[in-house]
Amino acid sequence: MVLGGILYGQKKLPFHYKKFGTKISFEEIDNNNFLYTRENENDSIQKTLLSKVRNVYICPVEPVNLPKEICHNFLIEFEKNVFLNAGMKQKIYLNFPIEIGVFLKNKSNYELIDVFSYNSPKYSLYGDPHSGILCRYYKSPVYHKKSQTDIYKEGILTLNLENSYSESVEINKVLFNALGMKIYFNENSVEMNAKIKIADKTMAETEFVSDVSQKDKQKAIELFATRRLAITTSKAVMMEGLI
Amino acid sequence: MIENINLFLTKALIGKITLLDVLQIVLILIITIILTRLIRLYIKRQMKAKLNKDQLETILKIINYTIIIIATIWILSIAGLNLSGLLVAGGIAGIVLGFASQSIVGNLISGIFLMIERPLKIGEAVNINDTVGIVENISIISTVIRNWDGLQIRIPNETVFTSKIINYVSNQVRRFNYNVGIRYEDDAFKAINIINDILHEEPFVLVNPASLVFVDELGDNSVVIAVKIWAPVSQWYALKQKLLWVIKKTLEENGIEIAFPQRVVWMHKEN
Repeated sequence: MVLGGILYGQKKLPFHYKKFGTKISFEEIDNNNFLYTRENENDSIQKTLLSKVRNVYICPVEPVNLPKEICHNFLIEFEKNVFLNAGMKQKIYLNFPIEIGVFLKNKSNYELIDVFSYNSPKYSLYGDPHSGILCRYYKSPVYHKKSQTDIYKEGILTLNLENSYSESVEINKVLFNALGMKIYFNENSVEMNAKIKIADKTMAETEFVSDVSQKDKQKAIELFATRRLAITTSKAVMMEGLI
Repeated sequence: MIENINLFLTKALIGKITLLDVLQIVLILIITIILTRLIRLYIKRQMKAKLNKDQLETILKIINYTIIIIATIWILSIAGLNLSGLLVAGGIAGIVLGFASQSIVGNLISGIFLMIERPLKIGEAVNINDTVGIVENISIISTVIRNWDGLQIRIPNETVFTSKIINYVSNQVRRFNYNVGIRYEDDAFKAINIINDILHEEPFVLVNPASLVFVDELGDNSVVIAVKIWAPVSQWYALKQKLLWVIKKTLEENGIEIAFPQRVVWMHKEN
């Protein structure tokens, strides 16, 4: 069955779907067992699913898994610096890359079977080689209102800036702990909400926040929550500068 | 009254040992037990994160025995035992043992310092005096390395401690280099742009610290382009294996050839 509508959400097996040259298919090989295939011109994977499960759930996940999970940090660099007066609070909008998780859904359990993306990932170091933090990297324009994005490639991050320092500050990057990411999606957009509290010219604290206003959207599965990891903190501290 | 107590305390019970001596010995024993426990507790708390269980236990035992030996000597001196003979004998035995166990003690002390300073940890890729491999174990006397051929190499801790140690994974990122020699007739700027594009497409070539690609040398046979790439320590070797051939193929696809050694010979023609 060719899947119509959006790829995200709960899907009944079997189906196949093609977008941007990447084909995803679940073919029934015998009674309730399926062959999962994802292929494009550079990459191809196949998995035999012997779990007797007929439902999958597909949603955006934390973009720190590809091509290999090497860190839990995520850095967005702004295309232009942002200047913020002392004590000022301001909301800006950034774009973030989408990685798509494919989960087998068995009652209330979600088991990850694949992660793929229509973007090319890139990594960077925040700070110097001795004490820096390895992170997934993305460069984004700074918007003052929500922009239109392709829901399979980019999401919209609402960033609440708060300058609690006594002087004005300039900032051109923001580092997050991806373990606390909360992604919301529907057929029109994929969104996240985060805040950054600037302590001084070189230091800030960031955190993803739950967004109760996203009532028209589904909350994506938090990948690290499905792995039953004991998450000690969802905050990130930027100590190596804001520029 | 005080005189009576004094008499009672200084009255010999066994040989020359008085009640006061017994009380002193009991007090020393109590202090020793409390002190040992306090020191053990303190060391456990301080070193728990730094040492593994076996190493911690070894250090605790050494501390235990040291305190017991000191307390025993003290008690023996209170009991009226003449320690001068023991000291002489101990001194001679110490010299003999010292010579005999010089290297062992050296290794032991180096082992303790290695555990405190921690220039290497189990599981890390290191180079100790040109022995390159993964640290499998750090005991109190020696360090075991598994080299890239899968062979186990035991290095005494004294050698480890006094050697130059290169730890390949102590930082999150590291740099590796290539030298790419192209022909003089090829456009070096075009080659640099092509290489930069390849690095840009590669996820684990880090944005920061940025890679460097530049003409490094006008060599005898080629224009040498230096390529200096930063990558996560967990990925650098796979990248290093992959990228050079990708660079070579892509340059050739764009009409830039890797130079061969060549020599131009000018023949002098008479008349």
